[in-house]
Amino acid sequence: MKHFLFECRKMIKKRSIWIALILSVVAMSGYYFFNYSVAERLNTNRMFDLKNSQIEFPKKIAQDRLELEAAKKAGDSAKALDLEISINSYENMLADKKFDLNHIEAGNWAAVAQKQYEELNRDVAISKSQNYPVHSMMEQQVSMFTVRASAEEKRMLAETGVEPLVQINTITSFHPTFYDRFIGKTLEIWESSTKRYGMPGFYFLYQIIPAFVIPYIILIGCFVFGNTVSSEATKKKKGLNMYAVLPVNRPKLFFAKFGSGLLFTLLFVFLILCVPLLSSLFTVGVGSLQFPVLMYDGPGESLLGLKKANILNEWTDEFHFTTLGNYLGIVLLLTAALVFLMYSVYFLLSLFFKNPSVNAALLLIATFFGITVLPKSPFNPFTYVDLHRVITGEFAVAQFNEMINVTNGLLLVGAFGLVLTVLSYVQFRRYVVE
Amino acid sequence: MGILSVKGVTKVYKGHKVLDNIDLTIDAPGIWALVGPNGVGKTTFLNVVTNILPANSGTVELMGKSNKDSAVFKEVAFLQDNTVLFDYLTGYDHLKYISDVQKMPKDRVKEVAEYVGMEGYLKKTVGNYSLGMKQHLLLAMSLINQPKLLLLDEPLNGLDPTSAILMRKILLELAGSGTTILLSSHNLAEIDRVTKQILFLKDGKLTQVDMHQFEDTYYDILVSDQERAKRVLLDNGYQVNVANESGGIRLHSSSEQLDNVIDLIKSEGLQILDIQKEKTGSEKLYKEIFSGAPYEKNLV
Repeated sequence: MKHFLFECRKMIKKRSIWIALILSVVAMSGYYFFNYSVAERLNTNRMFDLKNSQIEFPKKIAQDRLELEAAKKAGDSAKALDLEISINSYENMLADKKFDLNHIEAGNWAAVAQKQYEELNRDVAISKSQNYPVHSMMEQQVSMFTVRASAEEKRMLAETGVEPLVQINTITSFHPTFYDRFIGKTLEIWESSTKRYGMPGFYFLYQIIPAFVIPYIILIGCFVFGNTVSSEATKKKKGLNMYAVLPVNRPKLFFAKFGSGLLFTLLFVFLILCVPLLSSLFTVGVGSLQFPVLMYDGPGESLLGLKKANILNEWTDEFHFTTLGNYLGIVLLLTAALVFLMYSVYFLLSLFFKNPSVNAALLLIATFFGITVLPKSPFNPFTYVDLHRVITGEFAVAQFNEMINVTNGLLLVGAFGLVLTVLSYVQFRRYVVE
Repeated sequence: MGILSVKGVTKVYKGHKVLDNIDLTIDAPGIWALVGPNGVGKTTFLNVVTNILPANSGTVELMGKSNKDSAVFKEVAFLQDNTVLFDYLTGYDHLKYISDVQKMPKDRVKEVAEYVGMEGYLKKTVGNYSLGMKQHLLLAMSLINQPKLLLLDEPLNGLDPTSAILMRKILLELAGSGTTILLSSHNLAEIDRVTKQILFLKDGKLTQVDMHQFEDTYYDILVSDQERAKRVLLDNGYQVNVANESGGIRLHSSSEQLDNVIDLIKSEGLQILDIQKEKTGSEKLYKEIFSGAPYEKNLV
């Protein structure tokens, strides 16, 4: 234990580590506040639009009414009909926007979500009745799975009354899913209109997790804390030789060095993930852990209990929602396992290459290769680096392989980490500082 | 039980045989000096002895145990160069850790810091230490466990005269209390002052020499009349090798004859202003060995 504590003391006393930590905290809080400002601008625009409509729409309706009177007097029935439709449409929109404005200002998100749910649910019913999706964008259909999932999300938001994520498209704020098959310019517009921004701390985490932010934080953690051996084995710094002439056996020294680096990498990752939560205390707070998170269940079993189909069906494929609290809990668990895996890779590399930048670059390349080139298989540990898509079941459904799940991920990533740790130990035993 | 036993140790580094089938046995306490020019392999030898570097062949035993057993360092210490220190830690951090590892009593850190004279900067970070301060810390680190065998790699590096004197005093005290010391150094004058047992390392081979055979004692005597003093001593059969420019004479003689020399000078009515003694030996032999002159006839 004294070796471990000594290694921890060394970590705490290194100025470079504090600088790296402060820079990381500043970068993460900067990211949060930048994201917050974008979301705030979208919100402001929305509120401006809602308020402006309460002034402009009545004017427009009054103007149309005057013109309607004139058209009736002139006996222009066609124009009168157009104006009546316009007035009716504007009155409906005015009512809608007034409803949204009043409830948003009152913080009554349940009412807003309930209205959106009813609209989407009606659309689902219509689509089913005509066996054709009612929603499309630039002549490309919005997947029925997306419409169904969006409706269900609104229902759950209405039930819980929690604040939704901020989106550009507020009229029909779809939940994007991997069932969408947009291409070209439409895909660009779809992604932009459905991009979600989280202002509260937990929502922000939910927003950034799919963007591989956690593996990057782990990579930085490894870069900062994973050099407990290599940094003491250079030509100018040979601290490792100090231990060599003490009654310290190699296994104890290895676990002190490996363990302290691993612990600090873990603490670093969790601390950086806490930064948005702390930052959000200065803005809108951390948000609700009841926020619904979409989980893909894929094709359902047939009535006869036959095995699931290997074809996606946007009309019938199943899904459910879990709470953001549950989701983040699993994220933390898988993150811990990923820290172990990536740190083990980095530590092993550091026993061969003394330059931390080379090791970080190699780890990045290995991870990128593992994610993009290697097949998404339950036996590929890098599959689980994309933890959002593993947790939500997206990979399992997309690959028709239920074995790609959190439990298997924890086991496989843990096993790989363990093997790499043993290899590191074998290499460490033979390690010589010249 | 041998204190240090090196048998057939060979170390090849980058295709070059740095240590070539070396044998060395030290059975009794004392001070041994490892001497050789830069790059000859003195540090490599000490690193191989302590198993920091594995030998290609041969065995090393320290205090009767294999050097591969880390437990030997309960009784053995090795003062390495200052690259082993952690700049961001304090001297206290280093000593406290080693004291804990060696399971020494709590006040041992304070005790050893006082002994080497570093209590004034014990709590400062090592990055702010001078070369001499680092050397003090390294010495303190190697003394914490009260070793029976102490290996020192260039312990006099960066030391000012005061510190060098302190180091010499400590080494002699330790040797006096039964510690076996093996030190490498370039400072031949200092070596002459602490030991007569020299290990010359050349071409991967170790040659043990008892310097008592090569010891020369010189007296630099400052007198009121240099010429008269020189003449009277030469007339009486003394070797007056060099008459130095400051008005003194350089006399090659043993200490037993000093009394007689003084009487002779006094009898001439001359005044003795100063006497300085200088013992030489290793430097001369070093020049002979490393310039290629024959020396084998003098070896032990």
